[in-house]
Amino acid sequence: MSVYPHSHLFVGPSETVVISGPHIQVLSTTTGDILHSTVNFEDEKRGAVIESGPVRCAAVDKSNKYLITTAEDKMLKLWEIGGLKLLSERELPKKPTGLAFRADSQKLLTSDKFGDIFSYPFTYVPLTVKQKRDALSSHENPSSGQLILGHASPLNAFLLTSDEKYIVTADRDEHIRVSWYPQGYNIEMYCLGHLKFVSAIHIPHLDPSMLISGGGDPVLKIWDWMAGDLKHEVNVLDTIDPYMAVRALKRKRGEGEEGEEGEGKKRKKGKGKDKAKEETPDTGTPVAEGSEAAAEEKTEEAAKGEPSEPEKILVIHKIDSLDAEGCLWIVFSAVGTTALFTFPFKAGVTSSDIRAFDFGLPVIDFSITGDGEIWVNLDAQWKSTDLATSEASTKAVRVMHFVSQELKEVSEKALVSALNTKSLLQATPEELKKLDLYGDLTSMPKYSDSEAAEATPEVAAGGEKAKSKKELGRLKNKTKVLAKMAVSAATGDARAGEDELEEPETKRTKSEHGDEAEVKKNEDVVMAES
Amino acid sequence: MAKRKRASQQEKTDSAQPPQTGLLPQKKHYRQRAHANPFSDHSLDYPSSPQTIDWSTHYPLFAGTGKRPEFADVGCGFGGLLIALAPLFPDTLMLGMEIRVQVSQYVQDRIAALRVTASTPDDSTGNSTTSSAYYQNVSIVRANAMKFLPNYFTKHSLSSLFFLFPDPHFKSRKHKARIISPTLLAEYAYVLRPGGIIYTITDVKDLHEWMKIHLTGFALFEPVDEATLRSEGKGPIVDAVYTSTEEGRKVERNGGDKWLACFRRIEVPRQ
Repeated sequence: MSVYPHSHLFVGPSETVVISGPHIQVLSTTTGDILHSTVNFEDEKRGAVIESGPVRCAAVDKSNKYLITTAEDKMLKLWEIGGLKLLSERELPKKPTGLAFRADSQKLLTSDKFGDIFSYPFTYVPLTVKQKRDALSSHENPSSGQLILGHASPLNAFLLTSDEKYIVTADRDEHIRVSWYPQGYNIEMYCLGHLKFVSAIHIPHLDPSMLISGGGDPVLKIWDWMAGDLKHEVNVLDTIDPYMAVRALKRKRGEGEEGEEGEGKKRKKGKGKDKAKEETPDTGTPVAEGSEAAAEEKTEEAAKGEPSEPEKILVIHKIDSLDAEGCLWIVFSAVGTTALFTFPFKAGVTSSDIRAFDFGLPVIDFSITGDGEIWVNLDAQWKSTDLATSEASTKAVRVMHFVSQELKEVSEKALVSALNTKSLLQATPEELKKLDLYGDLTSMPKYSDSEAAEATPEVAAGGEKAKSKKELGRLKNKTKVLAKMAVSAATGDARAGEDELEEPETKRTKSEHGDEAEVKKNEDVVMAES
Repeated sequence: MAKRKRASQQEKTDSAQPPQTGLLPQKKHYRQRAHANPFSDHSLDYPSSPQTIDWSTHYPLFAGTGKRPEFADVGCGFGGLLIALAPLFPDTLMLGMEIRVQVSQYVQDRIAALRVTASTPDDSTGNSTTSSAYYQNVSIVRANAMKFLPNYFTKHSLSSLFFLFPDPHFKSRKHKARIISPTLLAEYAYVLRPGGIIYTITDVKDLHEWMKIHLTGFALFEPVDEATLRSEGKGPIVDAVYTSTEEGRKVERNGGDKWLACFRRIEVPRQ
């Protein structure tokens, strides 16, 4: 029987919260006893928990008293950890991507797919009259949150600086924005230079003027975030590459992105499902969720005549830091990789300073406790269907710490063994499939120009005749302009305008393909619509 | 009264433009549907940061001066405003941004042609010396300004930002795609220097109300009326905003109203 991996883990001084699929359990940190669990809720409440679907985002406040979660249903749930009591539940306008408490626990912050940050008071006062969107409101706001700021791209990560004077937000279109908090309308600076999406940011508490960011780029970037200056880059891809176990298919053309007219609309609805389906695990040994979906995938591909191999795709999942043995260590993980990576935070750090600790199973998440331990959640179900695996390699949680500059496993604790035994919850293959643990690998990357052009040869060919007429017209004019320039040049009146004319030519060849494709693409809204 | 005044101003700006010499690109070769989805992942080329832009390829005559664009026309369409303002502020660099490929291509070809025409001494207007720098200060990029404005302009680098006859996105479901929204205003305030002006104009009353309410409600902008702008010497800009764009002329031909709303970037203290 398969079990849910632990998706989130918050180890507190006395109570520990662990989240697995839709369920939340509270364990005693010292004994590992299960104190509360949504599994033990009475029927109605348990039904509601399961109905909400797998928990996607979760955060615990500084005092370890409160927990906020969101699942698939856009409801922000506030829990009291002691007693696991649901204090409030409020509807969010868009699918959330991240949650955080303000240090005093009095504000709950959410980031979403639409690119906005909302702030909600701790105490929820439901609106008496369902607030309707009036003609002049730019944002849906079902729970009357305070709109702090917004990007025009999905937000992947955000954080408050330790003094809570600034909020740093990172999006799918490579931006890192530094805004005042709570006056988020005042943008202090941008940290620009990423060439791919940014999915993880971190400010080390020991060096709060620095920001470390990562995403789809082969490097982590280190910024002076107040000035927006890039201070340093560390190549991480070379170190990560050998551990990239889970591969993913690139999102295909026609998968929401363009698609034939009419068909495009149908596909839009099924987009979420399609995404999950696209993922096929490594080397043709499908996990529980695999075989059926993979087969479907193949026929679809055959019909399209564009076979695609699952690829290694880099998505930095999380960056954090800890102070150990008189040194500040940066710890990071990447989606679908089996190792945890560390390097000492020092001037001129290079890729040779990065160490990898291989767990043999994909790292789902990790968290660092106050006493310098790194708790690592692993996808123990991965490949386990057809591999006879030893006890050691199927652990769902392992705990590491630094000993002589190396990561070593912490000797067994009651809590760890509880997390690896009695807190594991059974799950059906369908339920596991719904988790979509590696969805980021397909949803984060964007198309590049060349791929878009390659994928639409038929469109380009079809439009050729109509085009050439326009083309000829444009060309005629340009030739005249060129001739005129030549004359001017001859009369010694030449000036630097020549590249001006070269430029359009090169740009045009690109737009040739891009153009038609775009009109199609416009049918589809890439950002979360619901 | 005010209307008539504007009409006369239009003649003035019109005559400021060089006559059609046959070198200019023709619009019919650059047709494209009027709308683009700003949220889609277009196959766009955009700079990763303003520091990576080589402005000398856009403004070759200004290479080495360290000058950067100070006017930005967001959704510049066929480029009417830029072409009208270029001779009025010959030392100010201006950049148009347009998301539609064909249209941005048209503006690019138009500027290239104008530069050649204006720089030739045997031009029919005959004023060879003063026109030599004409249109060297305007350029265009194909860009999605809703997503990538800060990729082009550094903090407080602009003095004027134009939103002329933007896509009204009539359906309330589409309001989030409007170019003026509380969250996007933060980006406009970032690129605009304190004291800088946002010019908006539209022929859609509802959109005018929308832009006015959101800009007025935004902490970093305050409304500034037309008379004040004229008294500050920005009259020619206001006139160009009213009359120089292709959209604006279309509205005039159809006898529609035009609603102007301008705002000044101000600073606020920390809470």
